[in-house]
Amino acid sequence: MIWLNPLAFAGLLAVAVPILVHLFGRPRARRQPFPSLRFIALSRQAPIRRSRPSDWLLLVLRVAVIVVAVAALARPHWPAAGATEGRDLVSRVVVVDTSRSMMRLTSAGDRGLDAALREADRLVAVSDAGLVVRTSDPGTAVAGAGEWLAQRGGRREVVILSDFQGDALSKTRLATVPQDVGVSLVRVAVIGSPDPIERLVHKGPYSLATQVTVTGQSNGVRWSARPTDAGGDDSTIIVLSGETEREAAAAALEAARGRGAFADRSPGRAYLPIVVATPGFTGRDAMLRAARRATQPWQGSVLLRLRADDVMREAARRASPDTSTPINRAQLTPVARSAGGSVVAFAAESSLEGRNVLVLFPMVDAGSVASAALVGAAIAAAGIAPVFAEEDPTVLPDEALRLLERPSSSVRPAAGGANPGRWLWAVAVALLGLESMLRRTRRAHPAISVRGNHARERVA
Amino acid sequence: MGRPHRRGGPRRHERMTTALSADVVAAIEDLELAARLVVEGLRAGAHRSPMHGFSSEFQQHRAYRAGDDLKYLDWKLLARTDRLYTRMFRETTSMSVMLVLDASASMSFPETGLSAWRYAQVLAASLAHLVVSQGDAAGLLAMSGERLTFIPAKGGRPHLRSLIATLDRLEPGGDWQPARAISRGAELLKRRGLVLVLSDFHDEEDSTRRELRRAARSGHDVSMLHVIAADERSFPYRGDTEFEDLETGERRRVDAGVAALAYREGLAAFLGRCQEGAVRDHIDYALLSTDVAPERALRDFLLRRGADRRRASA
Repeated sequence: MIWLNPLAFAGLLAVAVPILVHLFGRPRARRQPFPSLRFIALSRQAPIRRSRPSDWLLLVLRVAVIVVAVAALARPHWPAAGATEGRDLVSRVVVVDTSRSMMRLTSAGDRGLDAALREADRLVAVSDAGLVVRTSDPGTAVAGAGEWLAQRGGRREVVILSDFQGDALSKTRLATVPQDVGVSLVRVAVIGSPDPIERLVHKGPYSLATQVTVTGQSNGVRWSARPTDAGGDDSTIIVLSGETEREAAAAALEAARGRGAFADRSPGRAYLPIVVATPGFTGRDAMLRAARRATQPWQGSVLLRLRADDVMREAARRASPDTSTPINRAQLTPVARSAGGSVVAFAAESSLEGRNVLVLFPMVDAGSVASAALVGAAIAAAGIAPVFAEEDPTVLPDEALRLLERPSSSVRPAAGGANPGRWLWAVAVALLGLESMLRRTRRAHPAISVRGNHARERVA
Repeated sequence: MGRPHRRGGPRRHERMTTALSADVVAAIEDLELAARLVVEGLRAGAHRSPMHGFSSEFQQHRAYRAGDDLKYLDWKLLARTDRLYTRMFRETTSMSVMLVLDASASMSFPETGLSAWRYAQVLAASLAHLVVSQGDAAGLLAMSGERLTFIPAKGGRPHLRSLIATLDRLEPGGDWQPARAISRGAELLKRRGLVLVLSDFHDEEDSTRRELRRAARSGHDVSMLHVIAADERSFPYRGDTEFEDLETGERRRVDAGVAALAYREGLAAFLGRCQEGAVRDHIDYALLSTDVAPERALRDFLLRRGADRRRASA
């Protein structure tokens, strides 16, 4: 048996109260002014002494009431049958930071992420209920973790395993976790990085030239965004083509940059092949003709993310799409609509260089903000996590982490489950009833004992 | 005195319904009003003027009322007119009545409800009202600790009003020295008269009796109006109780349920002693419990007094 709320045992100090009352308290007599005491004097009678057996019984009962009530408050808990000994009675969500900086090595020689995952598995194994969440942005995962824990009983906590770089974690995000859920922040000590973080994006839009081919053409600009080590199946293909001014192109890039698209190219990550075919793109018409309804699950999820993208929605709302071009709408899925209800961008499944890709057809000019936003949204939806934090090597100091942490001492009764202390409360109430019954009979009792005294006096 | 009343029987019934209960009397703030109400209730259907002067002068006739003493019926007038008239007398030598009132702290019992003090106040005011309205003189001597309040016996409405006002202002407090109060009251009554002592007679039993006897022997008509609170008589207490003497402040903690038996015995013996002493010394004695309507208590007292007087004169 264990106690879920051992602090309640401080309440045992209250046992002193009935004992002190018993030792020092005298029953208060009712005061009654009276014209003359001369006839009352005839029945001279000392007040009843307290040390009679029923008094001791009363004391024991009163102490028992307090002890039982304290025990009930302390919430005894018997682990369910079959539960492993040594388990923490806690529901845990372990959030593992999978961002790029976690790829760096720990002093033990393995990657920080691997160490974090091992620790996460261990923590979950010793929990009553546990869940491991892998995310490149632990801050956003915290709210979901809180929701999951809200449905569970007992002690609950969120554990975040990370190297705590930059502002990945903020107080406001932790505030979304319910107050009675503990927050534990475990730092994974990483010392180095197998491949240095590329600081590309901070150097301005044109520094992307190493990855993005900007080809000026008389009748337009062809944009190609391609990781340098592209070529494998895991590469991202972002193709943006069209007739546009350099400023518009820069804006589109800026939109893409806003999601930190190109920086994270960690090995082992899958990127989804998405092509943005703007008006004027050479293969656009052929792609439109070959377009078929997007059927792959990943394509559905990308479309959902595109539709949920705030920048994309806002840009589309303001756009005035071209509705004159006849297209086969049956095979196309609308991605965004303008304020007037016209479709700003369609999506469809197609093939590019023999690969199954999701093609996005903006119905607006390639240089427009809506196009740029679509590109940005596409890059984000392609599964490329924002990694700007990675660019900033500042690390949250331990003191800041301690401030954000809180213990999971508070215990919530298990939802729907029987309250383990309930029967103890019933016992306490029963004892209380017994106490009051005894007290009442004790009041009636003195008359008898006094008569006994009288008899004794007469005999004497 | 007296107003012409309708003849016939329904008076008795009316009287029963208009009798003011002890609680109602206690609730009337205005002592004069309370006294008047009590006296009016008392007069309706009174068989005989209870305080009747000795040497009287014929004043007027009045229609006979059921209950009037046939002694006063004008037989000659009946013979002449075939109508019943009662002869009314004006008292030439008015009687002096001294109300000796115990205003000690013990009279303030009980603290809630109708106290013995208030009851005694109403009785005293009613008696004064009754006496003065019959043309007699009423005086007051009240004792509260060392403070002696004295109003000489006089007749007349203004005097009655000031007497009742004085009575109303009195507050019970301190103790009561019966010997001093009774002897002073008897002395201050210049002529032979009526000395009515209203008290709970708790203090100095022996000297009280001695002084009462002395006052009676000096020619005064002495009455003991023993005022007792209902709770004092029934002793309804139970359990662990600390009794506090209202006069001395002494406290005594007892189990009231156990003490009750001895208390009642003691009280009964005390009341018996009071009554026996009074009978022995030819003193009128009345035990007035606060749970009896003052009007009824007064009527009983006065009727018995009248009966005793007649018996004595016979």
